[in-house]
Amino acid sequence: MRLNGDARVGVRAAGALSRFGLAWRGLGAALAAGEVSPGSGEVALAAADDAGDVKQRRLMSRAARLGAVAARLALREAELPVGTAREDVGTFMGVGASGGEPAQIEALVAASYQDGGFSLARCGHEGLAAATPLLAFQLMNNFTLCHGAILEGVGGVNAALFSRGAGTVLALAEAMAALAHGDCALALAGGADSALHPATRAELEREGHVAGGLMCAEGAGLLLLGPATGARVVIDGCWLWPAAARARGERDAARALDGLGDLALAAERDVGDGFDVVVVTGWGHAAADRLLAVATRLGRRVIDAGAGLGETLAAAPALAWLVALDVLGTTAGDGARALVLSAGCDGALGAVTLQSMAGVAGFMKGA
Amino acid sequence: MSAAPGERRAWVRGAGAVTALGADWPTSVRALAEGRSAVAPVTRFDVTGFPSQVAAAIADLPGGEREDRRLALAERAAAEAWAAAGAPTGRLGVFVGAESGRATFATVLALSRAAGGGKTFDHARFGVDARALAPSVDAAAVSPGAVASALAGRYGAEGAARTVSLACASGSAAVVEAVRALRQGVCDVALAGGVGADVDPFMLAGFGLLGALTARGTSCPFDVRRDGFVVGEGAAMVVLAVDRAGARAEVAGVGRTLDAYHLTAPDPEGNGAVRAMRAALADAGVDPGEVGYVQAHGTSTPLNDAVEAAALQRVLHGAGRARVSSVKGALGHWIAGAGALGLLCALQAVEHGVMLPTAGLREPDARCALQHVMGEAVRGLPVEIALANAFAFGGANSSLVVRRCA
Repeated sequence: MRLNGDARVGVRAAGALSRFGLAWRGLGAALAAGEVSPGSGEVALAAADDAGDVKQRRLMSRAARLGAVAARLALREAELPVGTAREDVGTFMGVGASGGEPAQIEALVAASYQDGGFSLARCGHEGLAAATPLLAFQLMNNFTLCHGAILEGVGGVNAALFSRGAGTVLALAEAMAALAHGDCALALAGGADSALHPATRAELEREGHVAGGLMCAEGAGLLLLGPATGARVVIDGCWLWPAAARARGERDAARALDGLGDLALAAERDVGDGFDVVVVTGWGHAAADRLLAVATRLGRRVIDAGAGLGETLAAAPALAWLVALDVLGTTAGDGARALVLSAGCDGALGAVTLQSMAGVAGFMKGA
Repeated sequence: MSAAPGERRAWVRGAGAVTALGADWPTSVRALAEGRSAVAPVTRFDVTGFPSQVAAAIADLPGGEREDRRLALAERAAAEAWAAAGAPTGRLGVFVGAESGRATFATVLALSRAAGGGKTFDHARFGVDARALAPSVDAAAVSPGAVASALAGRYGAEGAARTVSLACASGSAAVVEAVRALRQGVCDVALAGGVGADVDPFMLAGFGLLGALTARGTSCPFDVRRDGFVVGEGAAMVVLAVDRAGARAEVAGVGRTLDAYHLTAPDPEGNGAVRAMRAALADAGVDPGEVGYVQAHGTSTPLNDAVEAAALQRVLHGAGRARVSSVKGALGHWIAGAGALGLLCALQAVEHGVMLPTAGLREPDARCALQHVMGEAVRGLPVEIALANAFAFGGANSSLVVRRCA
């Protein structure tokens, strides 16, 4: 279903971290040229690029750290006028299940063993003493959003939506609605996540995604959205088709993806065709293949973002939007249109359409 | 984004809750109205050595032995709300405030053994042994989205199924999402609320490490003796719909903000909370002086209660005529479910004229000078407008305004 009604928003700036590095400009071209190789390593963060200070980073999950950097990059790129009230900036993010730093969990568990067994009483003393007092702040999902908001002083309307793909599309729809209703002047929208945490990776293996070709990765992507007027690129469509399997109570992820092909056909009916570029991101080869089959009918040029960036979970749709943004801004002409199709692990399908506006000079700040 | 005449509104068609004081909401209300508290020593597991050893836990929860306790709680609350609403028809959306679930302690123990028994953490061994355990672990136990997905499947929701993870504001923010979705036409009926199932060793450890839990073993919001919160568990759900049918109240206004201040401490000025409350009141088109009752976030922590009280005084101009209470004195803090429980308490005030008391509150702190509801419930004072607050670790704030409708 279409989530944004008639609402249109302009893209004012963006921030991204991925296997491509700490940038989104050039991402589309690099992916199209096969210059971004799939892999499962962490995004390299130089000290100068990292979020907060050492003490603050001790409180962050990996996803929170990535999200905080992306927020800073987007806000810096926007070059907001001095005096811009950041309490009027909303934040809407798709977030994953934050995992505590393995070292902290290890320390707590290890110190809790007694005579070969786990002792709760020992956990209460030695276990707790071995872990950071602020471990809870690594564990709660909302901190993926809150760390960046605190560091950047962003205080507007907000929502952290759990996402294995679909929630990030919902976050964008929420941001568009908030802007349309005047709840905020600007809004950060996107996602941050890591599939590299041991618990998350084990979960993905259990569900059969890794065997299906999913390449675990990490990343973050945030758009800074504002009014459409005067924007070089606007987002004018946001759809989500819930997984058909959900209505049957289906929880088997592999089977849930079976319905993705039908949803892609629904998307084909609803979003139109003739796109200059279609970007897809899916869960492993099986999902991506279903999307690619439709994408080639809808657009002249197709880019598989997941093939180069790996599976970044809640960040994946947002990074795919940035791929489209880059293509629109760098290689497509005025009036060019892009479609982004993103699949969630439960078989939900999201679609976002972007358009570069004719007669608007420049391509956001820094162009 | 208040609803103008003719616009789609979020009518409250039904409510349900399972709490430590009752298997359904009416039973819970009767106990709450008498000022009873469910806070008691933890007996479900060994808490020797833990900084706080009390909780508001639910005993004898049917199905509670399952891998994911959240589902057992949420399904019961949803069933009650759905029945109370008369099983409405229309495009259904599901909106749940939930954090990550946790595997049972037995599973965690097995995983830790797979890591080498605790003396060292053997990554290679963990990679082999822990993953071999994977098929026996219900995925729902760890996914925040599992509750919304399960409820969506149960009630045939073909529209939105959203999981909001905003810590202690999750349940309230999920209701915000539902209201927005109804207004925008994304769905016609919304099953919304929150669930918390945090009476387990790891949450007691995590919040204990933080120093946020009571060492004294009491939950007494706004009292001079308060020294931390008590973990509780439960689920609260409402059914909202654009078709009023026999509804007597609506969620008329919503507001969400971020403190953008500090990770562990609330903004001492309460600016984020103030903005959230004002946004919700403005959204409802309500003057602060019209508020008759506030279900406060009121966690029983020294700083948070004082900051919220000051924020309420600012918003309500010296607290106005509004009576204030916090259900956490009786049922502890449900974390992701807390905001939804707060909404039910606010609804109780506007729908039935029953303002539930703050259990445990005997001597109000001078820094929390409000018109507290103490002892037993206040009845017989019609409440037209009520406000329900939820403020989260990390500085996410969510406020809801409910209105009685003749």
